[in-house]
Amino acid sequence: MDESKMYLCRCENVTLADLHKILDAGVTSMEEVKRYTRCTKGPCQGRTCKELIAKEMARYLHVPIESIDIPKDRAPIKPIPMGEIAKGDQ
Amino acid sequence: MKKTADIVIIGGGVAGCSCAYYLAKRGFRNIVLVEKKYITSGSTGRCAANFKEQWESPVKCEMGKYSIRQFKVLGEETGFGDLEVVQNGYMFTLYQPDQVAEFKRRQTMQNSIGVPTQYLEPYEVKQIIPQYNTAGLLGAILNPEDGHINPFKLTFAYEKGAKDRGVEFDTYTTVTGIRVEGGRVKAVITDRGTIETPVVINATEAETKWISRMVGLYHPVEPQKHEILITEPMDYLKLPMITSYDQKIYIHQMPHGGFAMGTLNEFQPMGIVNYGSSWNFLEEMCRRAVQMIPAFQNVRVIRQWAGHYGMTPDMNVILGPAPEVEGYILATGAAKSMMMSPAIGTLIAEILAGDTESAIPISKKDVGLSRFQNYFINPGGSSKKNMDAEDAVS
Ligand SMILES: Cc1cc2nc3c(=O)[nH]c(=O)nc-3n(C[C@H](O)[C@H](O)[C@H](O)COP(=O)(O)OP(=O)(O)OC[C@H]3O[C@@H](n4cnc5c(N)ncnc54)[C@H](O)[C@@H]3O)c2cc1C
Repeated sequence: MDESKMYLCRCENVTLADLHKILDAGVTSMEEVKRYTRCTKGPCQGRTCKELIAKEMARYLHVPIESIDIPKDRAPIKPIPMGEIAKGDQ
Repeated sequence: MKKTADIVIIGGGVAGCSCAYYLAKRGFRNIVLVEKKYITSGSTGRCAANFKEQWESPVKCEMGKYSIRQFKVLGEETGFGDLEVVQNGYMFTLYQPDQVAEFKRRQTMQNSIGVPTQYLEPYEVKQIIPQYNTAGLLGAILNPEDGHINPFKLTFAYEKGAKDRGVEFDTYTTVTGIRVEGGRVKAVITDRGTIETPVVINATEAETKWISRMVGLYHPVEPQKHEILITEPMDYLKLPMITSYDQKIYIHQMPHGGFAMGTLNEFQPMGIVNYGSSWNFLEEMCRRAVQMIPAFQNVRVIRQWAGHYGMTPDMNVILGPAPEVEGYILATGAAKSMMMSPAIGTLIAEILAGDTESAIPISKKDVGLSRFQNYFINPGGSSKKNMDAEDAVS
């Protein structure tokens, strides 16, 4: 299959080919992949792509998945309208 | 990793990478940059990405003007490519008569040195930003030349330009000490080995004081925690960045459509580094944003994070040598390393070359350490009292 048509991160349009290119350049950290591609920074906040990317990095780099530095989950986890948050406890 | 160098730069943020680039471009060789994590892992990767040339002092205005000119050519000059420079302007909305008077005073100074700030009446603000709630608004100041740049791409561009000119980048390498003998820098000690060098540049902004402690000095740079959130991407409206000192908020739409907005964390004392983000910030920021622009009501927040400003006594950069230790140089951004990074790198290269002339019409004394004789910021002091300090918010 054409790797440039396989999307890993759909929010930010990051493909398998994009990921391989970065890994081929010597990058081994997922935090760095995030800074280069914006992956996991879209509306889904990595809920659909994080594991996929981590798994592919582990496979491609021949390392255990536990050694991949998966970026932190950031609040509020799911998108929440500002009006709802602004209401506070009321 | 090299064992000897002519210059070691500590910090792989935008300031350190800019110094590496401009020094190498200037012809300095045998430069090593040391970064404890990865490039952009510090404040640089956490910032709101805006730049401006409208300031309260001519020195900052000149550094801002110079930097904006460089932003427009750096992508090509380094061979990196597009840096996402857009100039949609920067607007301060004003709610107090004394603020109006102060910003009008600044406008006169700014206009006299070529910064085209304009004063706007509330109805003009409404024309530019129809969604703005102008209740209580007295006026605004807008500079149409201010704007946005992608801080990641900017830093990677400096990195590329520096590497292409032979600079060595050692990431995941932590500086643990600096060897000083006879009042001179001799070596930088890291967890991966020692690099003999006569010159070390401290480009760690918020973490400056800990590095200075390694040579036995205190420098008045204290970390202050700032929090920020980003919304889901919306249609790109090309609005100016909006800051209100009164409502303690800045709002800026990124070219990819998300609105970034933030303020300082009033509850964390100055002087410590803590990247945790708070629910309190999220709630307060949403309240302020919805009050200012009610249409935010239905816009969803997708992420929040925190970072630090390196606060200096006059909130300007500190560039140049510490007189007590020969070869120890500060390249401290004072929360403007990103937007002033071209000026920082250029001035550091001029200082090390011993130039008397400058590409930027300011005196090196204006940015040097000597202006703070006897100054001490109270670490552990309240961040709150600094809120009215110049750009503690923006
Ligand atoms: C929320 C927020 C919003 C902001 N918005 C803007 C904005 O809109 N525009 C703007 O211009 N600025 C903004 N700033 C300020 C801007 O982010 C900083 O001025 C700038 O990024 C600092 O860059 P730097 O290279 O000096 O420091 P950093 O980017 O912090 O880099 C310093 C590096 O030094 C490394 N380091 C520290 N100690 C050691 C050691 N012992 N050994 C090795 N490495 C070490 C760190 O890991 C770090 O990577 C904002 C800041 C925050 C927090």
